[in-house]
Formats: sequence, structure tokens, C-alpha cells
Amino acid sequence: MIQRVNGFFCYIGHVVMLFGHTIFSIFTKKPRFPLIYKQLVKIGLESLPIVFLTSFFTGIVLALQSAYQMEKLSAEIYIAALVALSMVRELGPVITGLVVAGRVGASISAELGTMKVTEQIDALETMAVDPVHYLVVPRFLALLFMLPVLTIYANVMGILGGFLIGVTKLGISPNYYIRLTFEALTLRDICSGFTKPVVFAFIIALISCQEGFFTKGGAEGVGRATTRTVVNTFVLIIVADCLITAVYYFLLR
Amino acid sequence: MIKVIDLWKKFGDLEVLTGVNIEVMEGETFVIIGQSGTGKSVFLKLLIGLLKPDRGKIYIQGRDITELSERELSKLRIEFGMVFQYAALFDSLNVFENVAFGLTEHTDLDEEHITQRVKECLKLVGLDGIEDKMPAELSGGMKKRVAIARAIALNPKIILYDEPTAGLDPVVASSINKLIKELKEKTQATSVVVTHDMKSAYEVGDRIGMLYQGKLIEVGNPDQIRNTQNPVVRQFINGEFEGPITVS
Ligand SMILES: Nc1ncnc2c1ncn2[C@@H]1O[C@H](COP(=O)(O)OP(=O)(O)OP(=O)(O)O)[C@@H](O)[C@H]1O
Ligand SMILES: [Mg+2]
Repeated sequence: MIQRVNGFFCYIGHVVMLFGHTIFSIFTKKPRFPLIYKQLVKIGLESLPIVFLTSFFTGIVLALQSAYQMEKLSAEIYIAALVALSMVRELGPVITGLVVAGRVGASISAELGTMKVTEQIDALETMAVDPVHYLVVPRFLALLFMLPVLTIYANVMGILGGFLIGVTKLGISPNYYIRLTFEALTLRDICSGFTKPVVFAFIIALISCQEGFFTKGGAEGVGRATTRTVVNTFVLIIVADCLITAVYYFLLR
Repeated sequence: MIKVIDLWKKFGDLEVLTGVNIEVMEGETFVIIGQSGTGKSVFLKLLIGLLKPDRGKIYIQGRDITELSERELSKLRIEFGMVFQYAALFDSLNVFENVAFGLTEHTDLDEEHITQRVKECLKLVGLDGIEDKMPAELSGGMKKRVAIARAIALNPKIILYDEPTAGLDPVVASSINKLIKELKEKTQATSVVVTHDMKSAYEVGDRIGMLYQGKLIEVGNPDQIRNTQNPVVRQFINGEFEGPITVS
């Protein structure tokens, strides 16, 4: 038991140290633009299809499910606001965070883990190149930029899904639906919707790189690191989401 | 050039090195032989600061590397070339980019000079026209040779070879032996070579040391080693099953 607690704090310590090292490298060393560009494409562009699918269908399901309830009250027009708020505040950031954690986080820790067990990270060090600056910083920056962008994209797609149902099935006029959507969103929603992807990007980048760097034991170890990355980032994203929501609800109203 | 005093290293309960002392002169090639698992690779990693010793001092050009900061260590490493036992090529980069890695990182050479130097290094290890291949497309022996090319690209003053001829056919192996000797003549590089291959050890080594149970039990020039009276060394160099070394 004591060992577990100890291990937990060690883990947190390592993540914090990696974070410090990353920030330090960003501000003190020349940025590696080609590597950053490569990660932007890999993390951002290549995640578009899956983010589209998950958020668009979430928007549709959201509209359909609430339509059942709203029909009883003849309150179908509230669906526009409901979809917009749920997407922007909650589902857009969380779905995007989870999808990217599963797709990108796992691949980062598998890649870095393989580099670790095949001594490529040692080789970087012997060639006087800082592995954090070479490997972590580009992934960190790319995630920090791309996760908010992907989240906006997810929000728009989710709202579009709701729009589709609202206009075709519930007979709300397109213009009216759009106006209802914009009326529903406040600045606070947008802010909380932006805080989340930034925090999630930190979680995904740091956990996946940390797991990669500390991989031991060949192919099996890489598998273990990847699994742990997915489990840990998922849990942390859900917890962080809850905390951020609470902070906005109780403190920043 | 390299001076190691009373070096100890353990992993958990496993004592790997228990007091190693070595002095390698400038321009010398020192060969370390020893059984699998005695800590030869660990020793090389300690020399280049990838691992930290539990006890002992490692002086490189008069400076104790166990006390250097990460930054000073990093600067010192530019003068090192290291060939890893399993090549450790960067598998997201092609052969050209692998060999050019140190050059693009640490020199201001333009593309043309880099290309020229990469070609030169690849030619030295007997590889030509594979610049565009990815490491995954190479055979084990080819990877090893690319790794050597990468290690020598920056003309390092100290080269650490971890089993440079393992996995190579006899002809290529002797060309690598020749290369190690040539590099020594040409660049006056100091080398530490870890190997199982006794032929290679005799050929490239100015001195040979045998690592056994955490210590260097015998050091001498190739002739001294060949005619040693130490039963452990005799058994090892002759590859006999019977003797003080037991395979567990
Ligand atoms: N990072 C590590 N963590 C734990 N144990 C290690 C580590 N690196 C090496 N060892 C252990 O140290 C011992 C020496 O390993 P090393 O790789 O130096 O052997 P070697 O002499 O190079 O063998 P070989 O000739 O087979 O390459 C082995 O028993 C190995 O299990
Ligand atoms: Mg070894």
C-alpha cells in the first residue's frame, strides 16, 4: 500500500519534471519547425475524420433523444439551445479529448516507447541532442494548438448534426435554428469550452511522453505503456473535465 | 584520455561492475572482452554518461564526467561517437538522415558538404547508394555499418564500439576491423571496442582487457593475452566448455 502511494507520487513527480523540462526547452532553445509541422499534420489533420464522425453523430443523437422528451411539452425549439450548450460546454471538448487521447496519445507512447527500448533515445543523448526538445516539445506544441482547433471543429459538427434533425424532423426553419443556437451561447460557455481542450492537451502530451520515456522490457513493455497511457489519460480527462466544470459553475459565474 | 577509477554499478540486487580500473591513452584502441551479461555494454554507457555509476570516477580528457551538468555533458558528447550493440538507428529517418544527423545538429555545413560527408562515411563502411532506404529495410549487418557511419561522421575524438563485428559475415567483419584501424591512424581517435570476436580483438586492439565478475581481471597487449596463464582468460579466448567459467 505504502509502495503504491509512493509510486503514485513518483509518477506525478516525473510528470511535473517533464513538464518543467518541456517549458524550459520551449523558451530557451531554437524551435524545430519541421518536426512541429510534422506533428501538426499527424495530430491535427489526420484526426479530422474520426472527430467528425464522433461529434456529428453525437449531435444527431442528442437532438433525437431530447426530441422525445421535448415533444411531450411541445418545446422542440429548445433543442437548438440544448444541442449547442451540451456540445460547446461538455461533449465537444470531452469527445475530442478522448478520441485524440486514444488515437494520438497511444501512438505517441508506442513510438517513444519503441525508441526507448531500441536505445534510440540513448542514441539521441549520445549525439548531444536533448530528447525532450527533439521529441516532446513538437508533440506538446502540436497538441496544444490542435486540440482546441479540433474541439471547435467538433462543436460545429455536433451543432450541424442537431441542425439536421431540427430542420428536417422537427420542422424548425434553418434561420430560426441558427439564431436560437447563437442566442443560447454565452461568453462563459465559450471560455469553459476553451479551457478544457488546453488542459486536456497538457494531460495527453505529458502522460503519453512520460509513459514512452519510462518504457522498459521490449515489445511487451511498449504494449503496457500504451495501455497505461490510454487508461490514465481517459481517467484524468474525465476528472479534469469535472473539476473545470465545477470551477466555472461555482467560482466564475 | 580516458581514466576510470574504481567504478561500481548495480541494478537492484545485481552487482554488475565491482571496481573497474582502466586507463586508455590518447590514440589507443582498447578492447574489452568478456562473457555475455558481464556488463560490457553497461560499461560503455557509463563512459558516455548515459548511466550514472554508484561509485567511482570517470575522467575524460581530465574532466570527471560524473560531476558534469547535463549541459556540459552534452557538449562533451559531441566529441564522442558511439556504435550501439543493436545499431539504434532512428527508424523515422532514412539512412542519409541518420548519418547526417550529427552534422545537421552540430555543424554549419551546407547541404552539399553534408551530402559529401555522408557519402564518404557510407563508403568507408562499404555501403553505397542506400541513402534513401529506411532502417527497417536493412539487414542487421547493414544497420550495424550505418550505425558506424553515423558514429564517425563528426570525426569524434573518442569512439565507443559495442560489438562492431557481431552479426557481420567474415569478409565484412574484417573490413570493419580494417576501418577501425584506419580511423585510428587517420584521426588519432581513441577507441574502446567491446567484442566477443577474438580475431577482431587481436587485430584492432593495442591492449585487451577481460571483464569477469565485475572486474577487469587481466589487461595486456594481444600477445600477452594470447599467451596468458590466467585460466579464466584462457578458457574464454579458446572458447572451451571446461574450465573455471561455468555457463549457468
Ligand atoms: N537498464 C538496466 N536495468 C537493469 N539491468 C540491466 C540494465 N542494463 C543492463 N542490465 C543488466 O546488467 C548486466 C550486464 O548487461 P550488459 O548489457 O552490459 O551485458 P553485456 O556484457 O553487454 O552482454 P552482451 O555481450 O550479451 O551484450 C545484465 O545482467 C543485464 O541484465
Ligand atoms: Mg552488450
